[in-house]
Amino acid sequence: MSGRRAPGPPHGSDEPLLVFLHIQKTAGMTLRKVLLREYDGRSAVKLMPNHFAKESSFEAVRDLVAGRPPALRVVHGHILFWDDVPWPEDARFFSVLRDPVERVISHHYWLADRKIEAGGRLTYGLEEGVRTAMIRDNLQTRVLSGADPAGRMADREMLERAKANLDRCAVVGLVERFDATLLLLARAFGWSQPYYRRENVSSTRPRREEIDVAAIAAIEEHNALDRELYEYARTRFERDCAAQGPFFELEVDAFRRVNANGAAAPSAKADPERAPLEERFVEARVEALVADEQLATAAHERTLLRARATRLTQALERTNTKLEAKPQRSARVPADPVRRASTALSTSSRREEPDELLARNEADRVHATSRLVELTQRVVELEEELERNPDPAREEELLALAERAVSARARVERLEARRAELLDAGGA
Amino acid sequence: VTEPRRKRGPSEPPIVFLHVPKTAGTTLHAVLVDNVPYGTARSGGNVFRGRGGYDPQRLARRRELERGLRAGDRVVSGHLPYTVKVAFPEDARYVTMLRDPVDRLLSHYHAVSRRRRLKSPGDPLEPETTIDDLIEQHVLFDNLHVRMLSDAEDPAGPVTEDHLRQAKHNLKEFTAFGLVDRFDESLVLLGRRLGLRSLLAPSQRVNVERPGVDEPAVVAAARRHNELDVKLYRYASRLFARAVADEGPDFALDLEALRAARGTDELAVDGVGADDLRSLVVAERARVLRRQQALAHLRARQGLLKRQIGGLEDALAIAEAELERRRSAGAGERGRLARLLVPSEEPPVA
Repeated sequence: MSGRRAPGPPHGSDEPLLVFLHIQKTAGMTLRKVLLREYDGRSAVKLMPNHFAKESSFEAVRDLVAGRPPALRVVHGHILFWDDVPWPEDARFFSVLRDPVERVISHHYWLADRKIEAGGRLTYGLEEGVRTAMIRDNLQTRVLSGADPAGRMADREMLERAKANLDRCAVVGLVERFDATLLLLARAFGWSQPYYRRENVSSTRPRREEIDVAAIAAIEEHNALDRELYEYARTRFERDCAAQGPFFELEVDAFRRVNANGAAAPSAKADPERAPLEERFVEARVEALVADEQLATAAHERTLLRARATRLTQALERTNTKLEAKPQRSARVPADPVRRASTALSTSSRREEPDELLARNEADRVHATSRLVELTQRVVELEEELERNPDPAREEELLALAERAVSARARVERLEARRAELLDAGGA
Repeated sequence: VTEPRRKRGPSEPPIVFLHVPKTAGTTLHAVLVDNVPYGTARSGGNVFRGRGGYDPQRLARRRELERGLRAGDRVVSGHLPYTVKVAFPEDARYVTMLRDPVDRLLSHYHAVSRRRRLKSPGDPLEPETTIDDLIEQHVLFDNLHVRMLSDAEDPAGPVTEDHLRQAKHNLKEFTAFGLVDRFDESLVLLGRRLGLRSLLAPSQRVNVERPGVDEPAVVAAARRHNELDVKLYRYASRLFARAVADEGPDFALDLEALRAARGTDELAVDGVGADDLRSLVVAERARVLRRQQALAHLRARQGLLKRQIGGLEDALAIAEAELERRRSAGAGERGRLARLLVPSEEPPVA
């Protein structure tokens, strides 16, 4: 079982082009978000013009694929599996299908939503829309066959082509099994963690049970080929899932739980129906996935902290240079920026400041701080050194260093408290 | 995806680890450190002297109220007797490790000898300096488990069956305890009882110079000085076995996962070739342990960096204030000069 992969290598231009044939209302925009995350943004993931809205969609795809820009990794959109696009030899196609009745209902209410947004109202109902081809018949067959004849119903020959094209797809997903679909995609294309949020969902859509029986009948009547195609895709999908090993469904469940909670601590309830070991497996997988996310976050935070420490060191260096540019008394210049600041202070403030105690505190504080910085730096270096070359014998050295850093910090804090006292006393 | 909250809130009671010397306590402390935010675990002092012996003043200091815990402390470890509890909150969670008392005393004896040899290389521990002598001198202690885990006001005083009874009672009150001889199981048990996520801290401080086999006379002496401890240990072993049994079948999975995660058998962690769910659960848990360990390291490093940044910010603020002070002093100087050169229309303000 190869459940998880390390995040794949950066996707270069010598990698195959992914072609996502996005059938309308099959969670395509949700997938787009995942794609954008996996392939570093918009220049790599090209959303093509909608074939069903713009005539130039075919030309756009043909021209883009023909003169493939090096950064291009994914082509997707409401495009067709056109025969006469010069698809690269190694192009990897994928698509997501949906129960035709569900898809058409969703499509209709999505159109209605758009109309309401534009301040209007759809003048026809679901059944009428289907019967008057406001929504195309057998849309999934049309997309996958690469043919979209106007003014007539799709035919069996198109269905056969659509099936043959499905066979060419690297992954065939199902909206009804979206979590499993994402895991299949992730494994096929080496994605890391394809977490997602639902996008572009119809809001006013009633449930299927609430829909008029006649409308359902009309949909089935106009989508008989899609029904067959969907069954074909489903068989393929089940076969692909079975090939993932006997525990794929459990892994899907773990992914679903993590995705549903964000990476929140696994709070998913134990499933009482399930055998304890299966439940244990899902729980452990959830924990592993959450830990993966936490590791990625922590590594990122550390990078930010490092950058900040570097910026501060540079700023301190600059300030020290200015301090030394107008010296009040010549002093040996230590290499360490914090120590330099402390030297500059101890040679000046003590003379200038009427309150001798405060001046000494200031100098001591800078000194202690310098020591703290030095110690923490050494701890960080040793830690990294030990991470590269583990050496149990030096672990103790590391512990001792860390302890010293802690007491250095305590000293700084004591001096700060002392300073506050002195200032209070001075102000009184 | 949001950063998850850690399972334990900051209000969770602190862990106090009573570290009986020579019971793999440094390793356990390292494990505890990995499980709390950076800087909130502390070695809470030592009532024993470095070269052996016990320091009553240190204990008195330790036991002063409010001294046990500083704000934010989540773990305090140390060679502390249970009587320090007066210095800790009511709900503090006590843990300890026990070891076969004869073994423990022998290990302690060799450690003290080694330290003495290191301190004065020309003067190795005299052959006639026996365990008896060292106990006589209060460098080593008989029945140390009982001394540390009972309610004895003076851990160096005489110990009796009463103290043994107290120690047994206290042991039952602890959140958890472990046995050195069953270290992995102890880790798992402590992990489950304390909610620890990282258990893979490397083993620490093994006394390498210890001779493999001790003279029978030395062993006999060690046994003679541990009559109460042997009884306590026997009791603790029974209690431990019961505690493990109470954890149910999940315990065995955790134990296997711990060993797999520590081991070098990558196949066991990948679950490759495993077609039974049990192996996969173990592999998955082992992976979780490894990830938690990596996370603990990363977080510790982040903590260090934050401190470093704090120090740099302090130094920068001080240096900038100094620069500003000199600037305004310089400006004042220039202003005086300017007034001298160009007499003002206004009469100078006093």
